[in-house]
Amino acid sequence: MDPDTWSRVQRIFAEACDLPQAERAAFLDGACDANSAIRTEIEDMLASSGDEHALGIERLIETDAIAPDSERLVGQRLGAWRIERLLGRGGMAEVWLAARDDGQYEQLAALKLLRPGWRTAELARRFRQERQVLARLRHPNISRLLDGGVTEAGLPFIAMEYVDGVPITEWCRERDLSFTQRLELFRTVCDAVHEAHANLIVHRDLKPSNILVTSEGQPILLDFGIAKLLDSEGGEEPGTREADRLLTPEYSPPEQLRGESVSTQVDVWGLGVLLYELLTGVHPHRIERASPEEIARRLEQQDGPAPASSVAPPAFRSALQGDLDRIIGKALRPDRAERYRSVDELTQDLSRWSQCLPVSVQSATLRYRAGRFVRRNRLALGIGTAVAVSVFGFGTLALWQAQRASAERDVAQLEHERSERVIGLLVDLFQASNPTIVPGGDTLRVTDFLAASEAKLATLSDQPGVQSRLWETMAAIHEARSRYHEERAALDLALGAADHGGSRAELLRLRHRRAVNVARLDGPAVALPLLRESLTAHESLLGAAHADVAAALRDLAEAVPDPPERLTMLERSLAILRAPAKLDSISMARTYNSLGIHHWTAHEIPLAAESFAAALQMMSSEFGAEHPYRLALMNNLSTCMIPLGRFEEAGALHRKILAAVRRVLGEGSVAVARSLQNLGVLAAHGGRYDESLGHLRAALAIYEQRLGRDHAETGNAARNLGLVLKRTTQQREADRMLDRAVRVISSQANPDSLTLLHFGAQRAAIALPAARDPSPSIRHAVDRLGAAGPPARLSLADALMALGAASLEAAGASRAAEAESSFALAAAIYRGAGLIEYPGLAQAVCGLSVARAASGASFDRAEALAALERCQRWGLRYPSITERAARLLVTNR
Amino acid sequence: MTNPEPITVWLERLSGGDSGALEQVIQRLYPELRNLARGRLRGEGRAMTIGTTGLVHEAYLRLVGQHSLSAESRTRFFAIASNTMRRVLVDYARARRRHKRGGGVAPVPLEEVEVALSDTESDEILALDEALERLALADPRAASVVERRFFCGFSVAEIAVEFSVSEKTIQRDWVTARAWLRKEVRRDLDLAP
Repeated sequence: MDPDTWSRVQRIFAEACDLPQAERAAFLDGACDANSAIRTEIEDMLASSGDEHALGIERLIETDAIAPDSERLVGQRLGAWRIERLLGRGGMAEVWLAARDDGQYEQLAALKLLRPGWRTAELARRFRQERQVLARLRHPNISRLLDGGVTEAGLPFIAMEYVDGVPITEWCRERDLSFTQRLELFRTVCDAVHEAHANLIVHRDLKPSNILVTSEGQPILLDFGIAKLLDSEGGEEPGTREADRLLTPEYSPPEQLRGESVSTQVDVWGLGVLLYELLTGVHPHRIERASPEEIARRLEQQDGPAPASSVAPPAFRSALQGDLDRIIGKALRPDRAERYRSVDELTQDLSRWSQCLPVSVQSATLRYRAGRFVRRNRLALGIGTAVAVSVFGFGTLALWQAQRASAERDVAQLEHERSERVIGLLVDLFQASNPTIVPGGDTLRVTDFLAASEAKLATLSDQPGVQSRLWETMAAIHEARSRYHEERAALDLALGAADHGGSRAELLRLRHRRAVNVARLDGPAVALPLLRESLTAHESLLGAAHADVAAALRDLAEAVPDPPERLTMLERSLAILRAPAKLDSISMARTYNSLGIHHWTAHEIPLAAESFAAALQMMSSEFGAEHPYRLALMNNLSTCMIPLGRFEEAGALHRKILAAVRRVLGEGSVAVARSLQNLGVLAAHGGRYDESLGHLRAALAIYEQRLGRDHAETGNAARNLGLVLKRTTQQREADRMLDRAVRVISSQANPDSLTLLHFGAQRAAIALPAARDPSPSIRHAVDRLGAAGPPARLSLADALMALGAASLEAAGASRAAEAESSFALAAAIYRGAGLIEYPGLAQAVCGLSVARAASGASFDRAEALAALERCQRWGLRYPSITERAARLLVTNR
Repeated sequence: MTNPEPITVWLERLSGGDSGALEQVIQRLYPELRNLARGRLRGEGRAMTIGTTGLVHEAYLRLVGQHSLSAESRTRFFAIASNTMRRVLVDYARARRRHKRGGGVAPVPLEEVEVALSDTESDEILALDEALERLALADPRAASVVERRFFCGFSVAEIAVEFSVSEKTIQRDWVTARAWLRKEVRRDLDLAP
């Protein structure tokens, strides 16, 4: 027969089957045309359909394809039981309703037998084991084993308590149960499942049709047909393997669908689905026809269903929102590691929820949150490095801090598994120390968490290995939160513990972290020998080409005072990271960032901007828009926009960054201070002094708290604040701030005399007109800065501006010439540094015009006017210059 | 001689596209199913029925047992097993026929004579086998549906998943094919419907 004929036969046959007997002949007349062969064929087929026409062979092979007679056993006796009717078929068994027939008492039972076709000796043996399973279980909400025996043919049967009820979902729907009633019912089911688990039995097939509710409202758990004995030896599992084929995909977790070995967590999943259905009326997943593996894959891709509250009937929504959504979500995590480990954990959460206690969804999600926290921090730790560029002296380009290296040896460097373990331990520690957690629901404060954990941690002195890792994790968390003193304390404890048998790699990592911490708190000069030592140790332990060596090089480079040496180190670091096998984009981004800071420090602003942009590109979108490190890089890039004159753009970006940094790292972090500082500087450039002061004061407060009063960055913040205050009426506070800044800068382990000289010049210029001409000291600064060469050139330009302003103030022909040459040189430096749009250049041009006019020389009027306009759009850095220029240009019209 | 690799290894290799793996799977399945069937059909007190579904599942338990197998490989196992089960029955039926004809052919091994298939059963098995061959030419899927239903008791729903079509389609394949096969077998054997 050819396929075409077959498909025609198939079509006509199917249609004919649907017709009543009487109409078939007429239908075939039309459908078969004159093709009598086809017609005969179909007539014969119609005569052959129906079980009564089955072939002998079909009965011989006893296929399921012929429905076994549902009356087959009615009236027969099995042991003490008389069979009344078929209740259902499933898996390898069928279930009959039977009544006790030994005259002792009246009782109904559900009698379970192997199905025809499934009666091999082996299957019978396994079937008998279900009986053993049931015999273990005595619980009011589990259908009871009544009796068992063998049929005359020697086949086993089981008599179970007959439950006359309806599936739990139907029951809830029909009775229109309230939210609380549904939850109560569910918890009773959980108790029953818990009882089974306590007996080492996993049900594996929890679904509404296996949980019937009696007319008294009692839910009864049925059908342990594919249950698994957890304590059985190989081959002793009732129905385990044949069950693989018979599972119900809608209620099976991914691991079960994959045929992996199962645990009690399979039932946690089943209960999760059930709870979701009971409270929302819909199934959490849309399971389409697909192979079990495909379904498992889809479940894992989804990573959890839509929150129950989003699909529930309106009346239930508000109750579901929040903790309950999270409880259900946790029962339905595709990844077993994230799911409730036991039914008990699930019911405990539900109890706490219903008692309105601040529940352990927090403790349940704590591991997850702590995990997220540490995961976040392993990258966040770079932020110290990144954001420090913000220090941008008002009215000057020249003052910035050398970068504080930050630890790369962070949690990311702990192997994944170990950090997971550490998180777990932390969580356990925390839970043990404070089981009720804090009131106020989900807002567990990290501080509380840390304090509780540290207290507990101190008691673990008998386990130095664990203790060292935990202290290291605590240190990483402190670092991310800019609590560097706490970080150091934790690192010292970690080192103390690691000294007792820690691995070389561990000691290396801890010592490096500590060196970086020293650079941060005590300054690069103090840290330098430690960082050099660390680099040597890295190289000897890991070889010269290891990615950790690249990181150590970078951290060292940031502390190295000599620019050429620093650049060489950064280039070596990049070369290691660029090797194809080590394409670590985060590490690469960090080294590019260090390179950007190097350029910034060398007053190569356009190059710095390029490096920061390159770093940002390495931090591709996979890290998320608000990744702390990304924010840090954005900050650095937009800080470059300030000297490049792109104030508005920089302002908008910095505001965005500030909001994000607050959200991600918390209000009091150093990153926030840096953002505030940049915004303060920008506001001062725009002449908005009140706004500027607000930002700078807030920044200073954070620096003081996080880094201490004597920290270099705190000194810079005081300097910025002082310079802005100087523009206002608050002169006394301004002087106090400026003095304080001088003190801090002078007290640094490696006092940067150039910075002080520049600062002095700046301070003198801002105080003009002064009682005494400050020119001699400014000239001294100019000479020294000029001798320092290109890396100080923007400081030099700034000092030249101060000298020019002082010279104009002093008046006289000889001073006019000095002013002219000062402004001309400053303008040339700004142009040479690529800062064409920077207002400082415009001021230099204004100054130049005024000086030339003062000495009777000609000047470019159009250029001067344009420059003046630029200056007036921004704050008046050197008011004496711009005021004179304005008078000059008006009177000379 | 080294231990033969377990069937699970070959099943997974089959998934990986190893064409020789199928033969290896069948080489392990065939004797297992043959022994199990013989247990049901042998001698005086032979069982009234064979119960192919149970046999195939028992073979699964014996061969795969506690090993873990991907769902895909499991499905493939049962597909191959249903075909192998069919071959086991056909081989018994052929042996019976050879035995009946007697001389002129190679002597029949003793164990096969023990299998007490009746003439009618043997004839039906062979007629069904041939009809299935013819059906496979016109509609291979319908032939597979019959094989899985008859020889390993798969439900319509399970087969629908395997072939990624609707249950309705499989149901239609099944009903039509079964009616057609019954008609063919009866015609071949000159039986009344």
